[in-house]
Amino acid sequence: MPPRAEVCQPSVHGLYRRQFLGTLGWGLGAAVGNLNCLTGLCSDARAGEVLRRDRRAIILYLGGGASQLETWDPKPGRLTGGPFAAIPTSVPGLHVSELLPRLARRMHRLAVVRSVDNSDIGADHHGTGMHLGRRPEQAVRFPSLAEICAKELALADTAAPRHVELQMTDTFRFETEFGLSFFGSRFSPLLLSGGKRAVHLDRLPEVEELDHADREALRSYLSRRFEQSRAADEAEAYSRTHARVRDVMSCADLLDVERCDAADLERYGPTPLARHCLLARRLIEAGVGVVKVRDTWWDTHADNFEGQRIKCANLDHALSHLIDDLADRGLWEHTLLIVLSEFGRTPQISASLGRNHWPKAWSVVMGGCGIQGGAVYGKTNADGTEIAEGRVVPADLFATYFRALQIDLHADYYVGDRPIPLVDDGGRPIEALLT
Amino acid sequence: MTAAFDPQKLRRTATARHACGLFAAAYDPVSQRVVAGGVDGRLVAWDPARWAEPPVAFHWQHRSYVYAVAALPAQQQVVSAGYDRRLVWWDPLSGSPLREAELPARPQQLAVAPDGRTLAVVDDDRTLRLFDAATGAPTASYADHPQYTPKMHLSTVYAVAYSPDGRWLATGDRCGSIVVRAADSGTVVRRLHAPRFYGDFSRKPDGQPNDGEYELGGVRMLAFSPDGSLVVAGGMGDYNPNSAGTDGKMGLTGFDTATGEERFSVLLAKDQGYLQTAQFHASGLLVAAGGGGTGGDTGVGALCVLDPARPDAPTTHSLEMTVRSVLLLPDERGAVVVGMHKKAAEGQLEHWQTADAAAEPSADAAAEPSADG
Repeated sequence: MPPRAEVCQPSVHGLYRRQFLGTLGWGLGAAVGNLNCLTGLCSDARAGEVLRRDRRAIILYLGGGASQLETWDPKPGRLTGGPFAAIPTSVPGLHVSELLPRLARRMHRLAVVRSVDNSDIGADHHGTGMHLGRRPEQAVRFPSLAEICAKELALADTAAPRHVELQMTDTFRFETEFGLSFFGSRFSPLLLSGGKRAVHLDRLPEVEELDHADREALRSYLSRRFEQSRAADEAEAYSRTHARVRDVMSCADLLDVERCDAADLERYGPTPLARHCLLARRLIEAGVGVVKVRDTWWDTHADNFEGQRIKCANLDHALSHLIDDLADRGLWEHTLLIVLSEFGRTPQISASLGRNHWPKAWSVVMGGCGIQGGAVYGKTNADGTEIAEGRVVPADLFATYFRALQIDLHADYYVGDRPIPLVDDGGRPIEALLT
Repeated sequence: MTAAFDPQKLRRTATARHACGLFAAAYDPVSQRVVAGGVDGRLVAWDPARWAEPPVAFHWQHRSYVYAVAALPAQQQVVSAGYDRRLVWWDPLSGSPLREAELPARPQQLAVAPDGRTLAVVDDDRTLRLFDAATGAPTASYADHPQYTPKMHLSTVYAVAYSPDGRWLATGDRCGSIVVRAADSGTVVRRLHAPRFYGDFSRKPDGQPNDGEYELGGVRMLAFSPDGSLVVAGGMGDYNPNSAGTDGKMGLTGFDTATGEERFSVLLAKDQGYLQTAQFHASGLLVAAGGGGTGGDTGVGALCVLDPARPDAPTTHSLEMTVRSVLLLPDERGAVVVGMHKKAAEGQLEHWQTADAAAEPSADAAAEPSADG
C-alpha cells in the first residue's frame, strides 16, 4: 500500500502524473473493494438527489490555531483581552475584533459559535478531531469532513475534481500521519501546494496531441478487450481511473490561479491565502464539491499580537472578497463556508506575549447555505476562560454542517459489520444557526 | 557618589513589580521619574532612588496597551503612544493629560528629535509620521517601506530613531530594511539591509526549497552612536524553522551611517527572542536588551552591553523577564530595564548599576500605584 504522501509531494509542489495515476488506480481499486462493505455510496438515486440539492462546501482551516480573542470573541478591557478593540458589525449588538474590519461589515452573512470545546478529543488530536468530528481511533480510519462532503455532495458527470485542497507547502496535514480513511483514496483531495499551478498535469511537451490521443485510443481498445473477457471490478476501475485523469488534465487551467481574471487577481491581492480563496471560488463555480483552503502559522506561542494582527489582515481581506464573490454569483445560498482551526488560544497571555493552545472555549464561524447569517451561538465568560453557555463539541458542529448541507446526519457508513454514524454519538445540530 | 559606567560591574540593585505588563518607559528629567506604561493603558511613574515606594499613577487615558513613551524636556512634558491609535501629552508632575492626537494606525515606536521640536511615530501602516512636539499637529508623513514582505504578508515599520545631532532619522521594517533620511528635508539618503533579521525559511533544514508561508522577523530597534557615525539595528536571527514562536537569537547589526557599509553583525548566543531596545551611553557603549522568546511561558531576557569597536565580545546578563524597554539614567545612575516578569502577567522593572554605585542591598518592591497624579 503506497503511503498517502504519494498523492502529492508538497516538497516538489507538483503532481506527478505517473504517481497520480498509480495512486488513483490503487485508490479507486481500494474504494471499489470497499464498496462491498460500505452502504450508500453513490447510487443513481442518490446522485440525482445530490444534483437537485446542488450544495457545496468551502472549509477554511486556520492551521495552528487562530486566537478567538483577536477574531470572533474579543474581550476588550480585560487583562486577557489583549491590545485590540472590539468593533461593531453589520449585526446589531455583535462585535468582533478590530483586526477584522471588512468581515465586520459582512457578519450578517456569517454565524458565530463562541462556545466550542474540543478538549475531550485528547491533547494530541485536537486538530484531527475537528476534521473528523470525533476522537480518532487506531482500528478505524474515519473519513474527514471534507471527504464526507466530497462523497455526499460531488456532482455526477463532471470533469471537475470532487475534492480539492489548497495548502501551503509548510502545512502539517493530519491525513499524512493517519493514512487513508476507510473510503480509500476515492474522495481524497487533489492537493495543490503553495498557490502554484500543478505543472505535472500538463501533457509532456515531447508528446504531440495526436500521439497522446492515439495512445489513449490504444489503451482504451485494450482495456475494452480485457473487460469483455474478464468482468472484474478492478478492470473497470482501471478504465475509470484513466477517465478521471483525463478529466483532471482537461481541468488543468481551472486549477491554475494565474488563469483567473486579471481584475480578480488584482482585487484579491498577492497573499497566498487570498489567491487560494480566489481559486476556491473558481473551483466551486466549476462544480467542485468541496474545497479546503488550509492556511498556516496561526500558532503564536510568542509575539501573539503581532502574529495574529498580520494573519488577520490577510484573512479579513481574502475572506471578505470570497464572501462577496460567492454572494454576487448566486453561489452563497448553495455553498457552506466553514472557518475553523484545531483550537483557539489561551486567554492568559504569557510572558513572551504569546497565547498557547486552548481547546476549552473558542470560536468557529460558518455561513452560506442553510446557515442563519448574523446568528451567534454560545458565550464565554468575561475573561474568555470558560464557556458560560451553550457548549458545543465537534460532533455538534458536524451535525450542524450536515443539516445545512442537507446530508442525512442520521446515516451510517459500515466498515464490515460495524456501523459508523456520520455524526458521532450525541452530536446535535445547533438549530439556532440553521435556516 | 556615582561610579563610571562599567558594564563588567553591572549588578541588579533593585526590582519593582507592577500589576500588569509594561511595554514602554522613559526617564523624565522634570519629575525625575521613570514613566512607564503597558497593558492596562495607564502611565505610572517611579522614583528610581526609591523603588520600594508605590509609583505615582497618571490619570487613565489610553483605551489599549501603551506601546511607547518619551520625555519632552523642552516642553516639560511626557508623550505616550497607545494601541488605541492615540498620542497623549502629559504633565509629568500632575499626571494630567494635556492634549492628544489621533493616529491613523497603531503606533509601534516613537522618537523625539534632539532639539525637542519634532515627534516621530512609526506604525503598522508602514508609515513614518512627524508631529509638532509642542502642539501635536501633524507635519509630515513618509511611506517608503514596502507594503508586503517577500512572503506576501503585510509588512510593518517597527523602529525609529534620530541621530544625536538631529541630522538623520532612521526607520526599520519587518523585512530587515532600514531607511535613513535627512531629518530636515525628509529626503531618503540611504537604504540599508539587515537580512539576518528576516527569516523567510526559503530552505528547509534539509536544504530543500520551501515556498511555504512562514516568516518571522523585523528590525525591532534602531539607535545612533553618540557621534552619529554608526546606526545599529536590533532584532532576531538564526531562527529555528520548526518553531512557532520567537525561537531565535537576539542580534545586533551596525552600519556606517555615511557609507552604509555593515560594520558588524552579532548574535547573542544564549539569548532568545527579539532585541527590542537599546540606548547608547555617552562613552560609546551600547546598552541593549530584549528577549523573552522561545514561546510558551519562558520569558527569559537579557541585558547586553556592547562596545561597537569590539562587537564580538558583548557583556550579557540574563534576566528573569521579557524586556521591552531599556533606559539609561543621567549622572551614571545606571540602566533600568522594563517589561514583563517571567512567570506572571506582571510588569517588572530592574535597576542595574555598576557595583561601586550599588553598595546598598537589593530593594525589591512590589507596590501598588498611589492615587492619580
